[in-house]
Amino acid sequence: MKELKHENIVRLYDVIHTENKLTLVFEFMDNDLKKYMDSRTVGNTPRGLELNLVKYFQWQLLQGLAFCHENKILHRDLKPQNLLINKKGQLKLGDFGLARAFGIPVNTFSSEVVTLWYRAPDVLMGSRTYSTSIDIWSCGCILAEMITGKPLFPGTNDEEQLKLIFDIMGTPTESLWLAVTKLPKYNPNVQQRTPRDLRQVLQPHTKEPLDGNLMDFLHGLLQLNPDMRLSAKQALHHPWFAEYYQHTS
Amino acid sequence: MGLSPLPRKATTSPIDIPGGDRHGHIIEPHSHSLKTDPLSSNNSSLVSKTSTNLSLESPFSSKSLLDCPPAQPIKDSRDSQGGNRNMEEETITGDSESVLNIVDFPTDELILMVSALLNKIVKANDETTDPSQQLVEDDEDELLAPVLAFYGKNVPEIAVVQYLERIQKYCPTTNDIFLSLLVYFDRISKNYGSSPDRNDHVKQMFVMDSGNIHRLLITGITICTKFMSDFFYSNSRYAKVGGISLQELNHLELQFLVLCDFKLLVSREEMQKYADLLYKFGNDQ
Repeated sequence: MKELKHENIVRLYDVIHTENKLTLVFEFMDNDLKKYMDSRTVGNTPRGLELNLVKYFQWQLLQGLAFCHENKILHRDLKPQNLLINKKGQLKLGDFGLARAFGIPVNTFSSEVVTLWYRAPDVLMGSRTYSTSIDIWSCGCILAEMITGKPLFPGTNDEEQLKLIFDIMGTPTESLWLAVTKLPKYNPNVQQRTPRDLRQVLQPHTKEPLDGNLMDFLHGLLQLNPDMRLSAKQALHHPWFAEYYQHTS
Repeated sequence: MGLSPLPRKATTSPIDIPGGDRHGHIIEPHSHSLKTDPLSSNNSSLVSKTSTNLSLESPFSSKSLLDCPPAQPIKDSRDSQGGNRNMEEETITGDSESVLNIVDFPTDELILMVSALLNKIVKANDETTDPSQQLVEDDEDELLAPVLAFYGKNVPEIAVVQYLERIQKYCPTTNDIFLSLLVYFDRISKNYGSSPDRNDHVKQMFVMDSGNIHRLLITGITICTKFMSDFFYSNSRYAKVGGISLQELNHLELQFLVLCDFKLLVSREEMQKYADLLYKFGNDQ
């Protein structure tokens, strides 16, 4: 991780090893995204962030993630608590405790990864051949949560988690996701659902209008079929970010 | 745990498997009770009784396959051996026809090849190490501590191949782990390669020999499996299987990381390179 030097990844400065302890020295960050969002709750009503801030955070999240993926690292635990922010509004990926190198052909992956609310449906159904798309799903959940201030799929167990996902995104069909029936925990008897309009789900929780670009972008991240999800790099080129890449390039 | 470097010259040379006969090599049946301590020297059932003479003229002679030249101090001449040759260079010059499929290659065969390769290195290093030049003394203690940590009081008598097969039996793992081990050993050899001492004498600080190879293997496999795979065993199991105490394994784990400079990532390309080279070595045997 010492080698992962990117402005959107929390820097590991040093590893100090003494006989009984290993101390990791990380860059100091003021806050994390979860606490930051909580601090904006008014009374009992969670509030989303302003959309321009949402976009800035999401841009940085995907920059950091694209860098991880380029370097063949899966984070596998993306959630607001693990996104650290400082007073300058910078956002950095932290907590690489579940991260793993990928790309080695024999990789044996566990499906017990990622905090439940941010876990992709393919992983919930027992997939062990996941790759970078596992992190992209989490990014989609985080984006929705920044918009509304509430977690999108707050399940309490694997089964309920899948149900919450299907309630909004619809149940997967073989025509859209060929391999889904082969997943270990695929349940053919689950009640069929049609996808709901995500905009209608989210819009009541934010004052700002959610435009077509944003919704298209969110759909690109929250594809049930992992192969259909945008890559981090593709996501950064989505029109929703036009104002950023036109500046930087 | 003995940091004192032990009899470098083994009275016997137990760590060999027959050259040129890797498929026909028969492991003595022995009880794989976990209570067995494979590193205890009086455990005769685990001792390989075969002896061998691997030709040192192969491409993997002391010129160093794993970049692990014999421990001879090279006096006043840092490049008398043509500099540090490493496996990468070997690959470029070698023919690239042999390709090992990391996913499908039978792990028991891979273990045989890895063992044969390690044996060759260990044997070469055992023979060329002058016992009077043991890495003990002086002011480099701190630097050398992680190197010395891998020596026990006695030279373990269990053959490398049997040791690896024992580990594979009780803590089964995949080809990528064994290949990564080779990468790590190579890295350590580079990290702890020649360093000029006060008198401008150059010596190789890290050398794989029969005194440290077992501890390097069990520690390397423990670390590598934990790093690469979501499925691994507890340190206490690895310790038991490897025949050392949990406390020692924990200590060695950190020392191994220090030796590697905490760099455990192996790229797919790098792993394939080592796989192909190993395969070529296996076929040349």
